[in-house]
Amino acid sequence: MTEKAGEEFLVMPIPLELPFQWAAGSYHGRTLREIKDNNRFVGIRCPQCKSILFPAAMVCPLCHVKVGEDWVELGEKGTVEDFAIVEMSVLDPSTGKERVESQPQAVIRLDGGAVMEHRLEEKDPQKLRVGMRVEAVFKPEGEGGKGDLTDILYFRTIEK
Amino acid sequence: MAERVAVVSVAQTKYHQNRGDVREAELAYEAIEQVLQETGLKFVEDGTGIDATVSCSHDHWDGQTISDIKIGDVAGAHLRPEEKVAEDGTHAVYYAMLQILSGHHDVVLVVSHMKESQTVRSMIENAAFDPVYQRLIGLDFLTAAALQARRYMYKYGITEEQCAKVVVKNRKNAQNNPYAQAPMGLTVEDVLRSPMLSSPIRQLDAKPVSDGACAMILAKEEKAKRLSDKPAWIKGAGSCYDAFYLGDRDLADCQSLMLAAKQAYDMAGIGDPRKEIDLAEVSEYYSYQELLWMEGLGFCDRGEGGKLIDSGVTQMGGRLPLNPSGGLLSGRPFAVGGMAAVAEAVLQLRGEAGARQLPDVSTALAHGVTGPCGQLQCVLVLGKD
Repeated sequence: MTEKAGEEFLVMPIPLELPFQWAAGSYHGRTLREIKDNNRFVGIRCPQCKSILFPAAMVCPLCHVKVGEDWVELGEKGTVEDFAIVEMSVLDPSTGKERVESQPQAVIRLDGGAVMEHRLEEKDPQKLRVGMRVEAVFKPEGEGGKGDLTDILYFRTIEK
Repeated sequence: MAERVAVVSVAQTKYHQNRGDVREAELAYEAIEQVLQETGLKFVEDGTGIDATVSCSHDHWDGQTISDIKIGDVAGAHLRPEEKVAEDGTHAVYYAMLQILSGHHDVVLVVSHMKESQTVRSMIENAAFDPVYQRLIGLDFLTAAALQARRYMYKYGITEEQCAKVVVKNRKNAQNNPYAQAPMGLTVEDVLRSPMLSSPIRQLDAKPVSDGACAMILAKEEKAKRLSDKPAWIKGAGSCYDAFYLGDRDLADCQSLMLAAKQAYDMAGIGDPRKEIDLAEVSEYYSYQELLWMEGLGFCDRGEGGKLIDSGVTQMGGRLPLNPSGGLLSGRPFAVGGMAAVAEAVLQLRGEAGARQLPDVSTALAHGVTGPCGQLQCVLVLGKD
């Protein structure tokens, strides 16, 4: 006999815990350490096509060659290439709980030539535009940098 | 078969209990770089290099949806074809073979990678069971294996000592394998004294936590002959699934393996595997599995796995050496396990197995398995010519 019409459907709530310890590895590790310890962005230059890999990585995806040690400073300033104001709540990967995204997410081209994704301080839709100039604001020293992207608080608008 | 496919290059990392120094892409590239260097092949679109990539990893084990995303850059997948097989590495080899047999590609890179150390095995394996019906019982692959071991031992009179002999043999074989994680000189008593995990499986009856990667290049006949003077031909391949619910199978038997083996033997033209196979690398996550898989592969009659290990036939120097590399019990990760079995078969066929090289190897069998109690089985038969 199948379930009777009108009966409450059975569901199985299994809140999955996902404990993981992901190794950063040598290349991402150096990029993240530089952000945490020295508040600067470093990438690595492909010996063949000269493009900059950021975060740094072992192999150039375009040329399929192993990179060397040509580390490049990218500066902390950049230009917004793309942005989205997130109006719905999202899952916070560090807690597994919902959070309201208080800051716009953005793609920022750093002046040193690499691109990264992060968040913007500016929330006013009227003041957000592609092409706006921004700079990274790092977590102040002594506030416990973790070696991940939360060591960058956000990118703030550079006043003209 | 109109076209033939060969493995022309294999490479492995050394297997290790915790490669915290590398991320998955860096680990995978340790193996990939070796096969690129050996063959001189590049990721190019003009038909002179690697045409496509097949990888093997698991979203849940890696904690990443689409777990192959992070290795794409090192596996030549940028604006190029790459597909993932989320089973055992033998299935990735099988899939790459089919890509070549279909005429779709000529040369395929296969890579499997796994860092078991980054998460908790029991949690990942528990999630393989049906969330609505089974998961809350707390089953994982170890406890399921214990059920299978008990049933197998009960039905056929297999003893704990016979299972322990598998551990002793494989850990000893690993002493001659530079890639092995945990070679060890053990006695049967050592195994039987090790702590009980889930009866009848003790700590030394189970494979250790392991990180590592394996890469190989498969090519169609004409290119294989140009790429290697010692190609290892895939003569036969078979794959078969068993029932999902453990109660729907007799766990003392392994019907899906028997069917996978039959497919592979038929394709390879093997009538009597006991005479025609020179060595086998099987995926024994737990010691009893080597005995059970021997039966499924037809190396002995049903229920005779214990007698076969007692006879010494499967030792180095025996008529049918099993796991000359040391097998999974000596430390190899999930997903990579069966692919490393293929790698060992290839090395033995090429005469490149170093101190563990067996004489006169012309046909070798590699076996991979995934799912609880050997649910999904894969058998590959490789030969010199």
